[in-house]
Amino acid sequence: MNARRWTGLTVFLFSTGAGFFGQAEARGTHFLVEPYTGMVFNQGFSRENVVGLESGATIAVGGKLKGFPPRFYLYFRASQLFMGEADIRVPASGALCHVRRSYTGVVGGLRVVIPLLRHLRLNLEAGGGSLFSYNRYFEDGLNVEYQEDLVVAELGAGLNWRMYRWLSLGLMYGYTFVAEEERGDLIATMLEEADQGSSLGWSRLAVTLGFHF
Amino acid sequence: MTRTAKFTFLVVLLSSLDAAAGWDTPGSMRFDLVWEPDRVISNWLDLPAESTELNAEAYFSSDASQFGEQGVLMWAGFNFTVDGAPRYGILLLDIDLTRAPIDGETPVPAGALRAEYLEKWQDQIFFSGELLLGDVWIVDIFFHEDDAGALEGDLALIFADPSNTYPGSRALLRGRFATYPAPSSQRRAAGLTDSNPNSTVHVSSSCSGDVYVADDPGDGCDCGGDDPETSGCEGDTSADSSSVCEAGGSGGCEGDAGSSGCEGDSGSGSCDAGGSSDCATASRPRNAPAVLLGLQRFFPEFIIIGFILFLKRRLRP
Repeated sequence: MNARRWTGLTVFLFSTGAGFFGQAEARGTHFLVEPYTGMVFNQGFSRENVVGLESGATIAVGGKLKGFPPRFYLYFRASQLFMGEADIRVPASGALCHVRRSYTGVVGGLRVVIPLLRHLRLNLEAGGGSLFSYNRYFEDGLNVEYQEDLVVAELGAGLNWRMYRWLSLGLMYGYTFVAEEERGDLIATMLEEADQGSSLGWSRLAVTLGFHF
Repeated sequence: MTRTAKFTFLVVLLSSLDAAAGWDTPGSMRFDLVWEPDRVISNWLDLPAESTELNAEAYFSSDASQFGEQGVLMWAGFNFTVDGAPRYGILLLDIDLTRAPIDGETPVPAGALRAEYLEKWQDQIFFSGELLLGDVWIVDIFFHEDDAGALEGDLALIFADPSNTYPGSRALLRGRFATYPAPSSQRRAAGLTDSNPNSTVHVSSSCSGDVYVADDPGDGCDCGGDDPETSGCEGDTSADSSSVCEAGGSGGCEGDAGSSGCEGDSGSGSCDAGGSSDCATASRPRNAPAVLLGLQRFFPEFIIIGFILFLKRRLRP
């Protein structure tokens, strides 16, 4: 079955499901488990791959203050980013090198859920945590690899469609940046990248599937 | 344990993960390259007379060190030419700083040192060698709990290929490496000022077995006398190689690992000979009270727990 048929079937099931179970209720829940997947864009390493993949899950707990529409959740998120392998010519020597980077993120913060329409909500997030990076550089005769812990902050915004009381589908855009003083990166210096890799940032566009309970 | 308590425990646990400490900083290196294409240089007396002075871009990383957080891997890359043909040299120098004497005089032990040298142009390897002979001296060091450590040192290294795939040798002599910012700058930034601000004499003891005086702390391994062996200043036979601070007549400072007169040296700061007033205070900075540090350390956790308790109270029916 091809992707288009899967998409059609999914939309059909959700549509009929919505009709069967009735309208999604406006009442919120206190807990959320939200797996997500999407694309991540490297904005700190100027000679390396721009696009990578990110997957992860968000767990959140929160509630609503009486007489105030937005809901507040504290969230915890674990993620894995893969930037793939970049084949790069080293500017100083002309040698062909290969760079691989991947990241494991552990962040937490506050999510504000603002109801827009009956089923549509605006999510705003701010948080911080750690990004554990794995970096490998190799060329003929030379192999360097290292892991690094980065303290990061992240901001996010997105729309969320609450299909049922227990299920929602969303699209989130997030930006993660290094929140500590970074004076550079070894591989970025070897590749003469902009700012020696001292200004790192990653933006993320992800599809989320939220389970509310 | 309630659901809220479990979640709180998880958040606190994960937010307590600490960042690694050490060195993660750019820098530079300067040395004389001796290029011997045919034979292996097996001792310091065997060195060819001709050498080329080179400047290299460098990077210092504890994360990449095989010795862990208290080690530092130094990468240096530099362009040069051989008979008009371009070459790119790469030096990888890994030092275990826990075993490195920081007196500027005693070389880093062989077991605490790993070094590789690679010479390429485009995808062709012209030379790849391991450390055959040589020493590294740590001249000045600034430890930092984060990645803002700083380091300065000297080196004299000879490389050869043990498999003889790449014949010949390469020697890096009279080398000086330093992070940017330098240890002295980091000390100043940390508020560790010179104990004697009127002092204009910078004393360094980077040359093995010798002490030299320099007006400029970045002068490198340039011992004040004749060095017949061109071997990175070791075995200096300078006539004025008395172990005293000559300029200004302030004796002592012999073991000072700092290039700026012992001020608040966080590394060695031994200052062991002479008792000069320049070397009076070589102490670490005082820490804030433990309670305040604890409060500061766990401040985010307190906020999170407070928020959860607040929500729980508000949501109680």
